[in-house]
Amino acid sequence: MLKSTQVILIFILLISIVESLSWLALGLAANRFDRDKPGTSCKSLKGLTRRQMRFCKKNIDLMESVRSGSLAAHAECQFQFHKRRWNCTLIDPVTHEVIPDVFLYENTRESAFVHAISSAAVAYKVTRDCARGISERCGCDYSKNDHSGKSQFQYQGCSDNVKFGIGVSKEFVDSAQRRVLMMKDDNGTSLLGPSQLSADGMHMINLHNNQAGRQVLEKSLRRECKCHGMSGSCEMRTCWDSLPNFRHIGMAIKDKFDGAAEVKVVKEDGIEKPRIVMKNSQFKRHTNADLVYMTPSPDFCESDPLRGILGTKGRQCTLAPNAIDDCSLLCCGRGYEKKVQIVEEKCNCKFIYCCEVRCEPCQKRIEKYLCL
Amino acid sequence: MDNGHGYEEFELLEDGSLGECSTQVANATFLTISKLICLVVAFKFIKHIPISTTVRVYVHVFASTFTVMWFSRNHLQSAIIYNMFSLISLALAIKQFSGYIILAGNISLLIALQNFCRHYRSEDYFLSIRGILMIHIMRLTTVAFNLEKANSNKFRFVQFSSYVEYIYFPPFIIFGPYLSFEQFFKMRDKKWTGSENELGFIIQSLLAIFNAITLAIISSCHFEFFEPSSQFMEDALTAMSFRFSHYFVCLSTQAFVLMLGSDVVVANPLNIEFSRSTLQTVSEWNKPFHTFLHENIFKRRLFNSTACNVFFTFAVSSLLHGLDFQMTITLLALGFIAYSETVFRKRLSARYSMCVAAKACPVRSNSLSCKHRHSNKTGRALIINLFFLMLSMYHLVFTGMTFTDDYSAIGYPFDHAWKIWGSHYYSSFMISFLFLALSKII
Repeated sequence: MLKSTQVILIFILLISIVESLSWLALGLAANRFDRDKPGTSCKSLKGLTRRQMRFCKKNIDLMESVRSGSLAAHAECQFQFHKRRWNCTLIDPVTHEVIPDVFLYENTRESAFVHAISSAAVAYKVTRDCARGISERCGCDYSKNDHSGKSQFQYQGCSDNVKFGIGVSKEFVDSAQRRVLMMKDDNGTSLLGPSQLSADGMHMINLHNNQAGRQVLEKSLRRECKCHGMSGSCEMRTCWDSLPNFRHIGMAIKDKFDGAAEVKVVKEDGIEKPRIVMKNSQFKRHTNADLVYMTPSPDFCESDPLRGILGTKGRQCTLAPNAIDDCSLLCCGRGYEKKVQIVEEKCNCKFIYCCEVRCEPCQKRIEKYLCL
Repeated sequence: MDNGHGYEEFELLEDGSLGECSTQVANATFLTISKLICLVVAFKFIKHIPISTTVRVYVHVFASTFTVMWFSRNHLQSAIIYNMFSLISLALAIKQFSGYIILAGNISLLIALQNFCRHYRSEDYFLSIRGILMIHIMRLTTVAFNLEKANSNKFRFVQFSSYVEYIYFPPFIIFGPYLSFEQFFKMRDKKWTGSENELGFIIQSLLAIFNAITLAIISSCHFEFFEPSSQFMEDALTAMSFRFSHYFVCLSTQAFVLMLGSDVVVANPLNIEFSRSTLQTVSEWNKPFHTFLHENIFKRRLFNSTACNVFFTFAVSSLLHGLDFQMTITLLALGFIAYSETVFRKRLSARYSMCVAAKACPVRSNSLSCKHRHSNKTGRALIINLFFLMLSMYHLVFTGMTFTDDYSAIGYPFDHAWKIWGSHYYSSFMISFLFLALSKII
């Protein structure tokens, strides 16, 4: 009986872990969101948790933004990592589902980046779409604009779209982090103490990284103003909040990825909630804005299908020294092969009156370097 | 393995930020204009209501004070400052002090306030009420000169109440416009002309407001519509942004004036954008301001020399902004550019008998052409005038591009204008010196 319970709990643990980023496949769903039939539209989506499904039904008007957020997250991740050994292989192009990479759920540095970029992307897209007026509930609270004691000037306009977007992202993305039900035996002692602590820690790490991604978005918000008044005076100012291009957000999170901190989760007696602390106490303590991870990353060199690692065999590399995709680095020392391809092209095109364009055939030599 | 579809999808996500800035600015602008329109409508009805003079004076004073408090940041402070200027000026005027002394006193007070704000690091506060005080000083000076002209020992309350009503007119407190004494009382005493005429004025006002808000949006959010491809384009957009902000203020106040039943013209943006000469640009920039300077400063001829009077006029125009080096040097630059161009074109017009002077040739009633041999319709004169039209456009860019947004709320540094003009190699000044030299040669 005891062993059977343990097996069931482990199974539940794995399921909940795998689901935490499944919603990223949302962007590839072909069906449209029918606002009149939220139940039907939401049920046809893959990869949503139960709470996310509930969010979908209640906020069908925001789901298009969430979908474009997942697209932006995936595209940005692929851009930022396209020269690295792990090139952000997240979604299976055949099944359109998130590849069940086990390593991504080991709280690696890469998983920290994916969590941060995905929560930031959803917040970003909701904020952007709110500025276009996709939903009446978007964060325009006009009463805050009148006689606000904090503001230097009585600026008008909607400045709460970012907070709204962050709130939506928090509700939807963090819904993917489910806590495992704790089961206690008759004596009151919790079973699977280390496993439970590990699961809680993983969720805490993921929630932390989600929040860090949203914080990057919040800090990148710029308020710009224009003065209007008699003869160059400034009686009135028109202000607007502007977000930078999402590429800037991606760059900022990538910088945090490069400086991510290795941590562990400890539980102290008397305190119910575990705490995230640095693994090596000699390092400076991490902040709320830093990305954190618990597990060192694999080297991604050899293919490991069980862990969802595709390896670098067959990847295209370059001979430029000191490049991140240099062949000696990307191919992990296994060497590379050079493929020469002769491509026929048209050149020296001329217009013959009337009315013909004649070109000469040319041959162009293209060299590619592929990892062995 | 290279996932190409990721990049293809990413292209779709590179959408612009269209609407992000425009909607917020449109909201903000409309809210502010709405408050002022409420004031305009209220006082349009008040002027038709038969109430006693005493009550009317109190209504105007209190409404004006609350308007200043409502629109400024430090409410009580602004109300005290505003009324302090009034009390001091009216007291001096009643004691038969000269209009010049009152003007000088007000400007000194303005500069003292500016230094006070600078001392307590509140330059942005000074800039937020400077425009209000500018128009206020102009009205107080007008009252002072009128009182000086009255020469009446019997000072009755009716006269005093007229002056107070003129000074404290809430719809014109924040953005103006400045109206002369005669213009104001012509507007105030105008009778109700029937619903058809009033409807026409209302439609004209709404059109002006629509144009004003549109220009405010373009002024703030031009980056959403135009992408500058070169440094010159960026400078031109900065200058355009500054001009459009000015047009927003002028067209808004034009709407208020129309609603209240006056035919005073504040500014016509088309006459400035496509100006015949820089001289026309300067006078068309803000007609009420120009009227004040022309009638109260220049025509009174404090000095015997015309050059001294011109300089004095520019000095007053500059000092009404406080000690603002950027504004001073811009006004001086405009004066120099306009002067050199006028001299050169006058010489050109006389030498070759062409209708190419800075001011358009007056058309005589008995003939269709002016005295010059080459009239406006001659090809040669047309080409030269077209050249000067485009030169005026460039001068607009040159003198406006220094008003960047980064310092507009706190005041520009001393060398801000020189640095930016240097990037254009002081070209407007070079052209002006060239014109002065050429006018000596030909």
